[in-house]
Amino acid sequence: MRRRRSFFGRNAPVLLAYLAFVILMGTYIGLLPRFSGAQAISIANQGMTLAIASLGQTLVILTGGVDLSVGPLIALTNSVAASLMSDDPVRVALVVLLVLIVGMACGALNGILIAYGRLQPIVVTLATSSIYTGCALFVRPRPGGYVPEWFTDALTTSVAGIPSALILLAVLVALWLAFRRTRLGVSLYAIGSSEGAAFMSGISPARAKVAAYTLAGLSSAVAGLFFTAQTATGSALSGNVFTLNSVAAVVLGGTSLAGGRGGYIGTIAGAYVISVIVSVLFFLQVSPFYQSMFQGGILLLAVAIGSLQLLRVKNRLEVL
Amino acid sequence: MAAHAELKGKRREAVSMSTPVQQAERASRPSGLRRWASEQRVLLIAYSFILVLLAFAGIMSPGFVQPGNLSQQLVLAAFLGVVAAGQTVVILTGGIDLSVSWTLNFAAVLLTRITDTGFTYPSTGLVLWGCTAALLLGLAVGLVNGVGVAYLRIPPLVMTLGMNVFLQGAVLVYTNGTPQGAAPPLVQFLAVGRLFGVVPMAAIVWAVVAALMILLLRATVLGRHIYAIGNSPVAAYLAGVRPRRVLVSVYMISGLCAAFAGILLTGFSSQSYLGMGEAYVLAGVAAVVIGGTSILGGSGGYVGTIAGTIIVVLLQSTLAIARVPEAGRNILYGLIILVMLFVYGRGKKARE
Repeated sequence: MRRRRSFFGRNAPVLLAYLAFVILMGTYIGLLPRFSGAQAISIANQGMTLAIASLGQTLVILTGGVDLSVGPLIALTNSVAASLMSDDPVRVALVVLLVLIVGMACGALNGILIAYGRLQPIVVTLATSSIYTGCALFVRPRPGGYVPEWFTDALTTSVAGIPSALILLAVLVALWLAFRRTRLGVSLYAIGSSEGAAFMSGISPARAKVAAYTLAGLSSAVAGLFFTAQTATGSALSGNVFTLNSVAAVVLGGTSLAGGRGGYIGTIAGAYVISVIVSVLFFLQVSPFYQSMFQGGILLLAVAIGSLQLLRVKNRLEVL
Repeated sequence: MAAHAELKGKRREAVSMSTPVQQAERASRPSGLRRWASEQRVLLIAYSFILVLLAFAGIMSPGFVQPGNLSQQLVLAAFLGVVAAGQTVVILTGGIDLSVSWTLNFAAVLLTRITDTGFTYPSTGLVLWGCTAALLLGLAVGLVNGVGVAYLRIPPLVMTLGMNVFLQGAVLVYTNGTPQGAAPPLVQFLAVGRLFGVVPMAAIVWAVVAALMILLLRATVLGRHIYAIGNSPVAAYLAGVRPRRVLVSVYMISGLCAAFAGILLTGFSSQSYLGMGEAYVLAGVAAVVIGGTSILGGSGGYVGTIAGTIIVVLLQSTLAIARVPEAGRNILYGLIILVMLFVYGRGKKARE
């Protein structure tokens, strides 16, 4: 029997992620000549696309899978949105609806192939990411398209004095906190811990997995919409960086890649650490060449620290 | 698998001297040829698919199946084949190596930097030192990956991904954004030269790598241990395998292969440039998977990966000559991987 650990013991990885985030933000704000509301919005926007996309990635990783089609799906939804939008608000609303449906459909396809096809998530999403990139290129062979200015403003500036990105983030956190307690939310953790045991307890792993990947597709679509507002253009190859960064954000946030442990709260810190570090290095006047070195180094350092507790495990069989 | 076959041979001998019941059992088993076909099903499918692709390409453009073009395709396949060799070994243990692209790139820029002597040709000694340094770099990257995966238990996906991002930065810092130097003639010969003016050197190099890889996996203790760990790390450990050492070894092999591919690619493009390895990460994984190696580890091998490599390269070329636009190429590429996955067989149900 394992002893019940304290709050700090249980949440060590998440707290570590927030510690890194606070240190980074402190450095960043300290470096800025003066800190204004506009700057706060800019910081919030920087990591927003990644923070949204990582919600879906968190759900999938909790089941013990991984979604490598996040980036191409952001690119696909970005291409569709920028190609169809016009100044007409009704049309924009319809495009947003269409984009969300496209995202969910693509996510559901991933989930069905993985759950009912009984194939490995990593290779399935690798294959479908090629398909989604192809679809994006079909929609948008060349970067371009039209995004109305009011759409950009609504998502990337502030509403009633509060940055839209923060409102969005608050909505996501609220949804997550509610979702975690639902039957489906608990199922995802159960599947990630032990699929066999989850099945024996009356959970349908296949259905829960399809739901997780569908929600991941939906969150990629929302990320794609935010990305569209941010860049005000559509490009079929724009989103690729988000695939592995979303995995990195989830892992930095303390969610286990083996599944069953973690959550979205940590992921948000992970996403912002990855996004803000670029700006910090810029302000520190570090050559941009060092950027990736720091990003990679921090990711490795964080996971290495997280795994140091393994050294205390005496029984080798528990570690294998 | 040599040991496996030997064991099977012994079993067959035993059967021939056995009781009538056992003889009846034996008679009810499928005949030799059919059993061989079912054992090698995945390889048969993969290699037949190559023939289908070649036939299709031949119909689309008869020039494609001329010896000249086919040997050119073989050269292109050789680079991917070397990267996929390391990837195969890693995937057989149930891991994955995403750091091959910038390991390859780092090895390439290191080689051209060391052998950069201005306007004169570098001496043979210098070229050999450059290649050795590049290969050592690959081994070092693999060592760090392996220690992270084996001793710190960092998931391979994260470890090699972080390493890749780190190496990307390291290459940028090392080259200041613009790689210097050119590929020395010796290295160029290795990649684009032709033995007796006919046989492409790259193909010979690939054949040597392939022979070593097949030998490693089938006839060495390390090879057996790689399969054992891929099937069950716990069972392997209890049976006396030292999983951590084996894991470190496979990542070092992968780093070595990536660095070697970097040397070859430098020779092929007669210089090193940033991003030269990007195309080889996912194509390498695709080659391994299309070749029938399970992404969970424990089953498959390099003979399949050779087929997978040729399929990936032929697919890219045939879709290009069929004038399929890039969008369609991506979609077909993904669909074919999915179809192959379904053909090779799927996982077990949850209730099993």
